[in-house]
Amino acid sequence: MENITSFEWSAVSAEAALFCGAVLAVLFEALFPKRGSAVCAFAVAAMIAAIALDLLAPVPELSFGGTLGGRGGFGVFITACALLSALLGFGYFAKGGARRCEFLAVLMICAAALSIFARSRNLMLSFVALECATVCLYVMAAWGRSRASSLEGAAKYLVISGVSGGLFLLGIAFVYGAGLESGVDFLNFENFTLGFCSVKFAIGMLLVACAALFKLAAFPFQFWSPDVYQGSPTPVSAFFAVGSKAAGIVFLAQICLAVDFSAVPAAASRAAFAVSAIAALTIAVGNLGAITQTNAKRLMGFSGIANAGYLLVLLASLIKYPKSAELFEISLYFYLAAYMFANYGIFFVINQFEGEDDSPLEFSDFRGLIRKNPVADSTLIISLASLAGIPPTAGFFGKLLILILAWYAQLYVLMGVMIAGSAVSIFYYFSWMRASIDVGAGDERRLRDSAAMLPTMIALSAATLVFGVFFFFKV
Amino acid sequence: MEDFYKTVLNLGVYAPLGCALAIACLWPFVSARAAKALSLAASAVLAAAGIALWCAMPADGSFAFSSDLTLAGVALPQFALNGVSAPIFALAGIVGFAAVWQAACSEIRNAKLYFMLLSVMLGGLAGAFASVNLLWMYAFHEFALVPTFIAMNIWGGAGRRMAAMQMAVYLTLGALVSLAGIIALYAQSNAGGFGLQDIALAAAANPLSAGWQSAVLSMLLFGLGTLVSLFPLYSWAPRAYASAPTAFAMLHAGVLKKFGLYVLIQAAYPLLAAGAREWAWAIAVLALFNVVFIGFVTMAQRDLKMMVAYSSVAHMGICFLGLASMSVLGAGGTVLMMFGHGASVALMLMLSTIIVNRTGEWEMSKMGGLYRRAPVLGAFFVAGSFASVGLPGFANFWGELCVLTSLWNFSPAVCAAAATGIIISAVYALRAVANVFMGEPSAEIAGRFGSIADMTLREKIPAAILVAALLAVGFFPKTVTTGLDSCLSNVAAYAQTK
Repeated sequence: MENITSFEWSAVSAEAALFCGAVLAVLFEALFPKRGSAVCAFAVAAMIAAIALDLLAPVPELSFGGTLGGRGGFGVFITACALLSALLGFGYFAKGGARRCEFLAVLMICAAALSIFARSRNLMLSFVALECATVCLYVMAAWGRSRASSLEGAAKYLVISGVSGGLFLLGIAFVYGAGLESGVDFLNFENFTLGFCSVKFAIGMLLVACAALFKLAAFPFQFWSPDVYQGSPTPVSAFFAVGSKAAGIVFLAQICLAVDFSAVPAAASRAAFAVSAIAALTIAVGNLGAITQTNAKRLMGFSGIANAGYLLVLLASLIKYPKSAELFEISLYFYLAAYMFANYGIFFVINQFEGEDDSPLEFSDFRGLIRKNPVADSTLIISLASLAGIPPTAGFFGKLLILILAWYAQLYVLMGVMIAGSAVSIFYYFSWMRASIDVGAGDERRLRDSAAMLPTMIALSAATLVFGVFFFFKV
Repeated sequence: MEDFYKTVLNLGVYAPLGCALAIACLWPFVSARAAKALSLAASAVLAAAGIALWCAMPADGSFAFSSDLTLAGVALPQFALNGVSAPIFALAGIVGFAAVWQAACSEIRNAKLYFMLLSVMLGGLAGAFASVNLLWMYAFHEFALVPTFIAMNIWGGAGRRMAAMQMAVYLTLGALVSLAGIIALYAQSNAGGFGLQDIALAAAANPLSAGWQSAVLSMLLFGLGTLVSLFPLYSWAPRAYASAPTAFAMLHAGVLKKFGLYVLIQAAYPLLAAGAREWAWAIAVLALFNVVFIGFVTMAQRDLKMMVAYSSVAHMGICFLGLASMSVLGAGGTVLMMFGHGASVALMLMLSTIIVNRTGEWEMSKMGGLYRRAPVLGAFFVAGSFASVGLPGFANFWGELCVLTSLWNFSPAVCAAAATGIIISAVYALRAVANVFMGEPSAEIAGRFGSIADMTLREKIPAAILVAALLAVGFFPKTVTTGLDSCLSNVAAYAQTK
């Protein structure tokens, strides 16, 4: 008989550290309202402890009655995102944002929920974790609630994520129904391969995938992301861009890794075609939409859509060529890490501007950055080069690995689309770069005199370069 | 001795990169003068290393000076030179030194950044031609792209924004398509890595089918062709060279552009003989467009810098024709042509900047009679023009001679059409000499004609170095051809046709 003590609680030690840290932070804040900085330090310590637990504490391959999987790299990744967003948050709150301790608490709960979401091996658990994270994300998007843009973004996110949550639940119902018919619990990932002969199961999985595509901001669920990125406070935009997107692709990857596609070739080729089509459309929509953008945060939204497309190319390769699973996981995490360094680098630069509201930042506001703050501009240039895939940055190797896997999977057309998309992306990334090295005087926005963020920026751009150069030595 | 040369090779590649790193890290402590001196020293090291290794090249032309340095337990990229890469590596050093010298004696605002970017570009160039790993080659080549883009936007001339963006998009598209080709080569041959030797061994054990060879070569040809401004994807080149700051234009037109041809000769043709045969005619036709069509376009230019920029596109056609002929002679001619054109176009770009700065005019028809005021400048300009036309005594002559001779065996008609390119280039080059230096000064410059000065000693030095390089290979072509011959004669692609 299972009871509450028979579960392997140690399997969720890292998530528990985040969650308890969040709860305690809110409690301390209420008890000692004047000691905000100490509470923030405590929250950061809890995040570091969670990363340490993620790295060190051993975890069984399956726990909680088979619903929770082992620990991939995602726990460390999402906690690192939360930590970086927290650092960004210190800059943001120094500029005038309110309620920083609560913000950190919500951020940590969101990270813990996303970590569970990516580890879950059961659709019901996935759903619960996803909804928990979505509520946190919705709250964070509305953090600048005195601004219309923040509220607009948050309202859009609430409505659309409500729809996607509904689709997810409907999908689960279909999958469960298919399971009732055949007497197998199809909600468990390990039984997925069996389910592919049932039409109901396929419809259910399609609906479930829609929810993940929404988190990933992939076509046709991409249109919320530029508005939400633009309106949200910068630390939240960054978390949307990296953390939430990564959770979507990792969830899809877990499903695809659980299915033995070589046992169901017909379903595999259909799935590969569908994912390829979505990937191609996402790349096209993201890159073409980005061309006309001159607003920094909106551009990051469109660039995020394009990158979601590249990640889906990776997924399509896995489905078409399941033998590449090992290389797939390396490539996925490498790409995500490169993407994290580059995105946070750029958002740190955006955060350097004065004023609480970063949403109206245009390229022209970046003019003369090279003169005013060379470190920030180097970070911007290196991060943009990484997103554009210029060697020797980490972003180049991310793209290279995806292209190699796509070649093995014989997705030649998709490779062509990806290459065309990358060539187009040069235009908008380099336009931004060009604005920042323009030395002509203008009425650009003022920069804050804050040296506190410089070490993080240097660390992020160094990571982009070191990851890239390190990889070179492995080929 | 071998160890000594290995060290020299590493020193040559790492000196410019180290110089750039030093300027970046010690930014507040380095003065503009110190940055200038540092990068000049670094480029001198590269030039000396290039020339020394070229002279020390073993006669059999195989890869030599192979260095495997390790830093803190991590193996650094492997560098080595063979008969094909040694002269081009030396060219990078020579043109690089001339370009840095040229920059050092001109007035530049924000000079620290300028020399840092120039050093990054130079390091990228040196690494690209010294690497023996396709991925490293590719990365070092791309490494030079961002500095060029930034430099064009900050220091470029008229129309720089559009030209820089156009260049960045074209070159990245070309590079990405060739990257797909490189991935295809790697994946289809089941090689263990991207090293040239790895892929060659794997391809020998497990030869690619003719269809695959053709497909892979088409990708490489499209991608690398864009980098070399092969017709019809050339339009980025003239605008970029005309508006880029002079030192960057010299390095780009003179050296970086040769990278596409270099990879085709060094990697693609030896591995993809069947594909090369299939594409030979397509290359020949496109290259003829470069030679004849762009030749006429060059003739129609009135702007001196645009004329030089277009002529460099036209000359790339001759290089591609050498490849199309599928013979040792033709491919060797291409390498000679790459060397000759690299030095001569860098010289011409530098001289035309000097002329434009002295006269304050861009159009050739608004100059005239400069010979009387600046005889040395005129002499160098005539030498550069003769070199680019391909008169005997200059390296270009041997290149064009080899290419045209080999083309006769490929197809007499193509050979005849290509030969008209020489006449066309003579027309525009000699007309430029006549318009700029001969006759009476035009009404536009008559007022300030008396104040136009000849080249100073500091300006003469880089020009003299480039002319000396052209003459050295022109009079002693064996310094290049011995290594080339033994290097290329093992290649199957050139064996079928004589």
